[in-house]
Amino acid sequence: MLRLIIRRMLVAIPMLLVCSVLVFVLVANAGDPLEALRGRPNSQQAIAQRTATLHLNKPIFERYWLWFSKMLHGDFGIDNKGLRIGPQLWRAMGTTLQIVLLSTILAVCLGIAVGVISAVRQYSFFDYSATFVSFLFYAMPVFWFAVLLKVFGAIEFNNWLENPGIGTVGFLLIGLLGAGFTSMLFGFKRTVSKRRRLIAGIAGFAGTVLVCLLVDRFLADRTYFRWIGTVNTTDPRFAHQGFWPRLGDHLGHLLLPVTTLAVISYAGYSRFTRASMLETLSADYVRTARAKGVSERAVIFKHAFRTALIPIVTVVALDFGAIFGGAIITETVFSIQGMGKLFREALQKDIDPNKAMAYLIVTAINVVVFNLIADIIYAKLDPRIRHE
Amino acid sequence: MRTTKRGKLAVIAVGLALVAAACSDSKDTKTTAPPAKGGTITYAAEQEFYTYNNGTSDGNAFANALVLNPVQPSTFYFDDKAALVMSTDLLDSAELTSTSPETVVYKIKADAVWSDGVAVDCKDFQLAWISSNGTLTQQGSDGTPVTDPDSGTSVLLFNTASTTGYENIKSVECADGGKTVTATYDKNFSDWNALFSGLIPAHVVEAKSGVADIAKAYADKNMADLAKAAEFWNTGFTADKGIDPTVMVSAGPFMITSFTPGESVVLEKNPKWWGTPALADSIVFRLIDDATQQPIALQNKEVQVITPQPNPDLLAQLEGVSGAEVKVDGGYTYEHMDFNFASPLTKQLPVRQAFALCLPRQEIVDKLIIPVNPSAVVVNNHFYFPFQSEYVDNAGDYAKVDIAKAKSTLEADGWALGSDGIYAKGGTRLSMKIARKDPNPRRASEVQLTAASCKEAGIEIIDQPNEDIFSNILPTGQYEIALFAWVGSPLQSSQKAIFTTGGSSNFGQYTNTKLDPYLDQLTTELDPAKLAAAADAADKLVWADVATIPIFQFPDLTATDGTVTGVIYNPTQAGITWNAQLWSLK
Amino acid sequence: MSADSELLLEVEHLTVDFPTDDGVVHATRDISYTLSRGDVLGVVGESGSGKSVSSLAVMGLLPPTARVSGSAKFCGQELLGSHGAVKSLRGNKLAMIFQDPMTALNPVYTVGVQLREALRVHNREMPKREITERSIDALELVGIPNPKSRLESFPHEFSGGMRQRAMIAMAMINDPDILIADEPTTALDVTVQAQILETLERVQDRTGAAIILITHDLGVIAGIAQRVLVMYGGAVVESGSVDDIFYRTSMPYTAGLLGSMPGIHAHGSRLRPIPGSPPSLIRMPPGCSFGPRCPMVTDACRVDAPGKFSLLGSETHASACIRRDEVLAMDDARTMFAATYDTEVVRD
Repeated sequence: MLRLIIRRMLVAIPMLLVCSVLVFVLVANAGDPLEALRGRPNSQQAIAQRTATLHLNKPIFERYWLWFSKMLHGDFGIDNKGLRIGPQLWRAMGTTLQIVLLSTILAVCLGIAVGVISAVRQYSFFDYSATFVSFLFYAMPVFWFAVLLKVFGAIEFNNWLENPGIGTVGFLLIGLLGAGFTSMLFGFKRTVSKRRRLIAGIAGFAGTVLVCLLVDRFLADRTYFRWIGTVNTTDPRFAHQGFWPRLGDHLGHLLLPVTTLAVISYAGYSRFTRASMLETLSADYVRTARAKGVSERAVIFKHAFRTALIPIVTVVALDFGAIFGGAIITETVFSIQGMGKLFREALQKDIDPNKAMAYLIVTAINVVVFNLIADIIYAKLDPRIRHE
Repeated sequence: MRTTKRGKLAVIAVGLALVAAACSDSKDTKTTAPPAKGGTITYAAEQEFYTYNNGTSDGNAFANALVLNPVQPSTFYFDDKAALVMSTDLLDSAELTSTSPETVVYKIKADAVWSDGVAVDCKDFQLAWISSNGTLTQQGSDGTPVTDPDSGTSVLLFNTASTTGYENIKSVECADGGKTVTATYDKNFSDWNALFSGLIPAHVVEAKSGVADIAKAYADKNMADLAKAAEFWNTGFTADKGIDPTVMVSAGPFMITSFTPGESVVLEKNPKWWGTPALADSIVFRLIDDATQQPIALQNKEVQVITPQPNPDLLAQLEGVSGAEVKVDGGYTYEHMDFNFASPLTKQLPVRQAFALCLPRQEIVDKLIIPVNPSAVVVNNHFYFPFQSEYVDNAGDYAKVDIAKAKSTLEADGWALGSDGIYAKGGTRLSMKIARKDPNPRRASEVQLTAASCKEAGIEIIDQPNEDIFSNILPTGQYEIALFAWVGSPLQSSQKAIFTTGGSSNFGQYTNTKLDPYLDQLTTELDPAKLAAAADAADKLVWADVATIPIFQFPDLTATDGTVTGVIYNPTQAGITWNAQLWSLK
Repeated sequence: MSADSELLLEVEHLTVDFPTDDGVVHATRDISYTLSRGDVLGVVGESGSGKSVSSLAVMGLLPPTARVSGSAKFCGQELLGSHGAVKSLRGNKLAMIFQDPMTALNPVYTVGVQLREALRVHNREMPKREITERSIDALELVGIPNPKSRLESFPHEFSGGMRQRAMIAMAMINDPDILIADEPTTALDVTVQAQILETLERVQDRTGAAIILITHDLGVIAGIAQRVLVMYGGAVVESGSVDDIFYRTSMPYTAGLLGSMPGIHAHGSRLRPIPGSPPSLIRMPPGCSFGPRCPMVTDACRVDAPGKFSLLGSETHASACIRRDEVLAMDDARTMFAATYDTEVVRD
């Protein structure tokens, strides 16, 4: 295993070198970093200064060398605004990591759970609903979904928080949800009779309504502040408060972007898990396990799911690397200054050569690393690879 | 309503409700709310604040100006009519005591201090002058000045954005313990009252760079010390290091108290502020770089003031926000068509005249700008805008589209209508390319409307979109007409670079020897009346030459959620926060 | 091997249908047989004849869409239906091995893990050490060398024959009364086939389990089984002792099967394949399902009458053919099919 990692890293180094040269040349020819300055009156002084700081009057290979020798020391240089890129890059990575990690965890957990149930109960009502929802999420434009979330998940919900309570309709809806949930939970096994499912449903309804009543009683005459944010990851008014209020505020801001990202990934993961599970569920070794008398639960989780997990985890690792390079739309819509923002700043308006290079190199390293991680996980999970 | 509906169901859970009552009163799990009233007003910034020194060429950004308006002291500020008004907070007086040589005496208020307790004084004025007068150049390792090979411009020691004005000043002298400043010019500068704005604290630069006295170092030509001071001036104020309260000091009603990169800047009342206190306790800038998301943040009460670039969708969005107060005005940035005098076609006056006569400026405004700014008008002056008192409509014949006159103008010049409906002379068809930035749907529409109108006049117009027109098209001269916008300025001294012979922003190489003296006068005239007269004379000449044709002002939008007062649009580069100290919650 | 008269399995009128979009697939129809301790019952037939389905039905391993009717009793306990006892017996008293040992073992667990699992699910209280010991014994029984170290191997490190042995070890580890071997040798090399069959015989000797051996290879049956069921189109068409089937053939299909077998008995005899292909299990032909391919078919065979397919004859040797006596009287029933020289051999 260690040899595999070392070998792959050794291969990656010349690849990244070639990549950096290529990208440097591309970036150098992608546009004029001085375009905006040229379009501004009385800017010749600023043009001269920026030309000097970006070494624009030096030949490209000298520029590359200047960039490269700095980069080796971890210095990504300064951007068009005269700011050091390093801190911006680490900050952007941290921010993106937060939302990508949270959304991936959410999407993987939900996607795998729903995918497994869908596969185990193929062609059931649950399966059809899950399929419908996945395709809906797939087809939905991200920004549109994000705006929808903002309107209902933030504005409306915050309005409700300011004057909370559960109306009769709320009682009924939540009760029905509870009923559905319990009847599904207790009726998971195919053998459970309709009557018992019904009883479970009624009990669930009653239980949920009771809980609702408690909550409603609790909420009466209270008012909460507008918790869910639609932009940024923090509210500056919390900056000087304690750890818990700050964490709460932070989560209130992460909720919507994480949901947005998770929903997109969820759709993919649930479909992928379903397909993978269907394949393993019909595998001969699953039949063998059943023939051995292994319980259905163990058959599904120990035999079918364990094997189905191999491709899923691999795809998740690769996906993670890819989204990490920038959930550009999500970050833009929620004004989150992560890798996507860095990318846009570097390339969208005036090209910012050092920033673009920093972004592209980090993204390239990222892809290499996550490919390696995917390979390692694959080898860890699949003994057939391990021994080759 | 909730209580009665709940009552119907309550019977089921009387017992449980009693238990709940016991629990719910014992502990309050409510999250600690931030102070709701008492004065935080949040503004949605489209770009991030990134440096306290907006005078560097790296700085010089609107985003920084918005934050710094109520933080840094300025001698004069632009009001909402773009007039320069003396800051009575900072100065007792600012007097032009002599016009030959131009001499300005500033009397700084005795109690004016930076937030670290150090007095605002002459040293700060001297630093502004030293850093931007352009006399200190970077020395290469061999001791020769570093220059930009393309423009021949020297690379300065202090990385200043512009030397305009300061380069005219011969000396900045101190008196009265630093509270009186005398600036003496060796060449008159008309916009003297725009100088010494956004002052940088000299004592901070000195302390951080280890230079005892920058003015003395300048006087002594102590290049080592000056280099140290310049190093800090250039890079020491950037926000990438976070907020250092000992660096980003304030001499305004607000001071910067917190900065979260990528998120927000918080201004709070400056305890050392000697002037009229601000109405709000705190002004917060939250970074919302996607303008279309700003109305949603407004609706979610995350921000109270937004100024996104307007478009019809955004206005419709804002209409849905209850209580929102929306206003659209024309600003200083204006769209125009610029002729290339190096082109064989557009160097001919009749061709330019014919084009000006078929350019459907009113139609462009009606179709593309009125939907966003109902009060938008065609701009008919190159030097003043409709909201200014000096504005005069000098367009004359070109005020309206006149196809017949366009044709007769061409025919009088020997052009003949070809079989393809396009005029030609000496085998040359009257076909002109309009260079414009791409992608830009609005400009594409402008060119389309122009092409349709001018086709009737027998002029063929070809759209020439390019991503980087200032780098790729304008320097090559391979175009007839350039369509772009000038980020305008109320300073008449800034006009020279655009219109004068060989001006750095005179891309079309327009030249008129009768015009140049007027442009010179615009930079040196100290009498406002004479300045306006010179600008008017210059404008008439530019119209007569049909050198460039202004079309419309870019619309600027100001919207609040209706809970704040005192937010007033300002068309200049000061931006909406020019009067932040007067913002207040209703 | 003296027949132990203890009745282990009693299958009666077992019918399995699969509803599909194209119609109902009648996978097996009205199958009845019995199995006593020590028996080796061979089940032969072409692919799709229902031989596997009937066994899977007994094991309760059919997909949930299958509709099963009839009865299968193990020592008097009903196995079929939702309240069937099969769940607790499966892997314990009833064991099964499958055709392809390459895919029948889970690739991500070691052989040891899978072997121990088979033991543990039925012996929750058994100490770890004993489980391991018995796993080693089981591997030893099926002739796997170095069983202790092989426990830690993954299936892909085993050869095909070794994997099938491991499968047998896994099936036998709980000392089942019945072992259903579904085409256990089909996917293996001929030499390995013989070893596996030998292993099965040895295991049976040692444990006394009854074996149901499902195969399409009559040669395999001849070597190991005492009684044989011949299946066609989802139904049993002939049953009897090995001798009955091989030497007293009373059903044209059985004769055809024998003729399709490359000669072991009659050296130099030609292959005599059955023309045509098996019937669609959705739309069965009227009358005898073998009718369309039968050289002896008469109009009477095409009459769809109830009871038509029930076995005729004695309890030990029965046939579904109404002309069984004529077939029985033939010298060599295989000759009813035309001999072939070309390469176009049996197509199924």
